[in-house]
Amino acid sequence: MQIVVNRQRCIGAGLCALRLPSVFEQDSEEGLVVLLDETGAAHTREELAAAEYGCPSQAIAILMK
Amino acid sequence: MTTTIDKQLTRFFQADQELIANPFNLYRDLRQTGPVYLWQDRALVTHYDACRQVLNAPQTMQGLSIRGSRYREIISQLGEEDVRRLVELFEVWEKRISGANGEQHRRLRRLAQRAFTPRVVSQMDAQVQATIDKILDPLRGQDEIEFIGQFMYHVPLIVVLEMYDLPTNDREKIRNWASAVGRFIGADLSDTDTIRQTYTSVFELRHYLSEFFDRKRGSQTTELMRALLDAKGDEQDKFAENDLISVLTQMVVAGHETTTHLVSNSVATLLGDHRDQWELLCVKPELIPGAVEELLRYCGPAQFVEKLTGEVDTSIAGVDVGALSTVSVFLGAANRDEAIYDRADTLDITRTSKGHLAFGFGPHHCLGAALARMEAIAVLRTFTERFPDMEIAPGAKVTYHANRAHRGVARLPVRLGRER
Repeated sequence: MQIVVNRQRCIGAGLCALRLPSVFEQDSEEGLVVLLDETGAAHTREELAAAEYGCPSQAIAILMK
Repeated sequence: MTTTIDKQLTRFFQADQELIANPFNLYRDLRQTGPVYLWQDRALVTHYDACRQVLNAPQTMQGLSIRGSRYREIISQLGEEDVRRLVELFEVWEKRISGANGEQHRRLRRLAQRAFTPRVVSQMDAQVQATIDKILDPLRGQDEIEFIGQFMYHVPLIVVLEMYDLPTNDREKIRNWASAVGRFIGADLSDTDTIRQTYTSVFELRHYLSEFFDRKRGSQTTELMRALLDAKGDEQDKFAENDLISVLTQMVVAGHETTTHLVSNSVATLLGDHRDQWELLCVKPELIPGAVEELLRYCGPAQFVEKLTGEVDTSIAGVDVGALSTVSVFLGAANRDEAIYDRADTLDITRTSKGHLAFGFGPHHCLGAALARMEAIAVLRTFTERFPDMEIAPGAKVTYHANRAHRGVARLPVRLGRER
């Protein structure tokens, strides 16, 4: 899988970082998403899809390869 | 012909105590008619998917706009003085973070958002606990207390005032102004008393904050306040001072009432109808964070948020809705949608209730969500640990505020029981 994040859309809600802290983090300047692991290998498709669905500004895209 | 639903809606929007205390049967009836219910001058959205759709739609601007169908109707019936007051009120309203849209909204939000991320908020845990302990301390020896007036409302209010370097000794005044503002949302605006009271409160609060803003300009202050004072916007669009005062107004108003309601509603429901689940939290405090999510879903304060459709006729979940219509997105109904949550009208603190809409969705998702969660967890942790025998005072009447949009227990007399 490949994860893509969109920092223009991100509003810093931090739900992704709460759910999957090994994959998503928030920067200290504006609280915007930082992708720590673009493969998401440590998680299941369902877990990643849940993070994607739960993002309030739809700033996460999980691309199934 | 007026149906039962229409009669119930009329009562709900008149803040009938019974319907505010329990709107959930009405919500179920509404959901059964379909995702969108057209009523009087607005469109009520009650299904989870439809609510998400509206909250995410870029063409649906943040509401409580005076251009909405609901307000056009009312304005046509008001006298000149009251119209003037209403117009000025909306001018203030529309400048708040939740009143702005698009790029302006993003820039205003950026003035505060880094201070409200879950990580930064978690660093405030000790400070929040210290505030809880300080307010609780003089109450410990008392047999019976009024949970909200004597304890709960102080906590989130002190926390947000301290974040913005505002004097915590003024919190009684600030609370009264903020309550009047909160009542305005969803209120009966054909009642001119409501307009006048809200007008007076909003402008007194703004005057107070404006003076404070001036005083703080040259001095040392908190990071959040400094960010507001120094905010310039960019070359094309400087922030007017009024914009920034509006942001500060919103932080003060939004920053405490809803959190107070969340925790008060949670305690009332656990002690009232779900004692077994309260006791479970007393023996398994590790369940508290998950319980807070379920309590947000089940009794979170925000019942609806208002949006405004764009300048072109549109449709929501297949239902035609006209241009410039007021759309009420019923988060309280969406969170009980059986299509999403099994046994949706049952409280179950052990379930995973992620994905609820209690904090909204889309670009205006509640800025203070992490802080609200943290405060709720801290208060529940404190009381389940120290006062596990706490109970609603026998014979006490638990009443709700007459506020349609923000459902909150108004009075909660409790017996603390033996302190551990």
